[in-house]
Amino acid sequence: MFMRGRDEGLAAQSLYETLAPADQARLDKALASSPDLAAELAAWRRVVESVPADAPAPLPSIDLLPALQARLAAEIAPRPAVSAAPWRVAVFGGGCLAALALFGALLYRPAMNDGAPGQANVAQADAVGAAFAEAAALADGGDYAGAYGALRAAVDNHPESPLRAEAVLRMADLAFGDLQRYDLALEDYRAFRDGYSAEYVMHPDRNTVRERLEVLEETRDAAFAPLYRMAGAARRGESALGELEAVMAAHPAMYVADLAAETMASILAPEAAPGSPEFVQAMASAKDRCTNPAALAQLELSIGRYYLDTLAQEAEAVPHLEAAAESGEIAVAKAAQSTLARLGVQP
Amino acid sequence: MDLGELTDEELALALQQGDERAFAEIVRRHQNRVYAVAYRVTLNREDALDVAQDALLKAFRKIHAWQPSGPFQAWLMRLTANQAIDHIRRRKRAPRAEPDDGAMFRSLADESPLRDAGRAAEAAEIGARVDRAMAVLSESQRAVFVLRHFEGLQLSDIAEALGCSTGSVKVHLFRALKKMRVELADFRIGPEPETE
Repeated sequence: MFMRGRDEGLAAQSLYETLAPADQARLDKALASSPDLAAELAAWRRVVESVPADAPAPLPSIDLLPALQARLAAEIAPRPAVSAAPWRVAVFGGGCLAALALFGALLYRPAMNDGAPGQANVAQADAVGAAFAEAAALADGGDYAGAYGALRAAVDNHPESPLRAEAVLRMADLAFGDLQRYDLALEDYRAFRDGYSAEYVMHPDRNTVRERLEVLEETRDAAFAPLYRMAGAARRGESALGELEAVMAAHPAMYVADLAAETMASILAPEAAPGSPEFVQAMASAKDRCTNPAALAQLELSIGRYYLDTLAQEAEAVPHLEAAAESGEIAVAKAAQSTLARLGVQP
Repeated sequence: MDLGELTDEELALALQQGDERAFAEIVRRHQNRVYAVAYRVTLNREDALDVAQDALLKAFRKIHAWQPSGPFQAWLMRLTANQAIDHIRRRKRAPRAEPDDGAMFRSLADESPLRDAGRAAEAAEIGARVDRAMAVLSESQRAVFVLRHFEGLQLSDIAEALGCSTGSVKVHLFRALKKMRVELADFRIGPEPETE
């Protein structure tokens, strides 16, 4: 009688390495007594032969050396004085609906108009630095297009400024959060990531930039329509739940669908803080407000992902992922199955 | 001294002795491969960039952990795979179920002696298909498969890199092969085999 797991391990090893004599003898005996194992091994050999060891691999989009050198240099150099203080806010504007605040805060970056433009603490007397102050004042007055233009002019006219990277990033933020010019936002975030790799790698908001890039690239082919729908829905509160349901149904398994689910939760439970048990319970209660099967399946997937990725509660995530995996919605089921496989859970 | 003429091991020794120019040459020489390993384990371009940078920085900081008795590249690839697994486990959002398709990344085949556009396209498609198949594997299974199949590391070395037993590595490997067999059931390179 062979021990299946151990013999399968030896079989897999034999495809790549010469087994020790005792192990080879054991494997030979197992293969002789189990046609299934022999067939399995033959199938694995075809996989190994089909996948070329020198199969083309993707290349990095940037040269890593400048970023690495910058990081190493930063480790030994004293940190510069904090600059551009108007950009640092602790709380998203208090006059907003919780849902709108959430939509922005889900992909949070410090807002431009924190009400203190006069306290600009720009370290360098630099044209781009001056543009920061001008742009902040314009944004304060609600002229976001003017603010964007001021920064754009400074960036274009001062290619050597050390503040250029931050200015490009701020332009991207304006385009995304205030102008809702998602085409410009995508262009500018990409320019920041690809054109200023050292600054991007070291930036404290890099993860938010990445998430915004992900949702922008995901919705680009749809002319960013889901993002426009989301932003509009967030402003209308409960009357927009149907719109959010439609976004989930139309974009299954995509990041924007997860955002729609979370926005629904914030509308249904405005007092629940993201990341709290009450918040994910609100996501679950959103199922009672949906009738579209695709949206319901997506909600299960989103809840599972939220438990897993945000709350790190794998046990709570699994039932929702299993429900999504068993739904009839192909994209949702596939995404759920992939996540369950990653967790080592058989659906 | 032209650092480009040194072997990997000579560069690593130079770095151990404090020559930081050696690090720049190591990065130039290995960043593509480090990124490839990072991408194949994380299946996400942004994660792969993070992992590749973190792995190369770790190699710089921990260069004295490399023993001259073993090949430097293998040590670097093990370190990268380990970094990739840690990154996935720490990542706030799970990787997307579908990795980037073949059009999203520039294939090494495009820059190889394969001048024929058709062959280059086929090579890129193979790479993309393999990466899609690996998406069904867990991160540990992917790491083991990548290090064994693409990087040629011994199972015992992979076990040491991942901090597990050789037995566990074998389990990851056969589970990976089982899943890949299903995913690549209709995948074949070259002419169909003759059937009786």
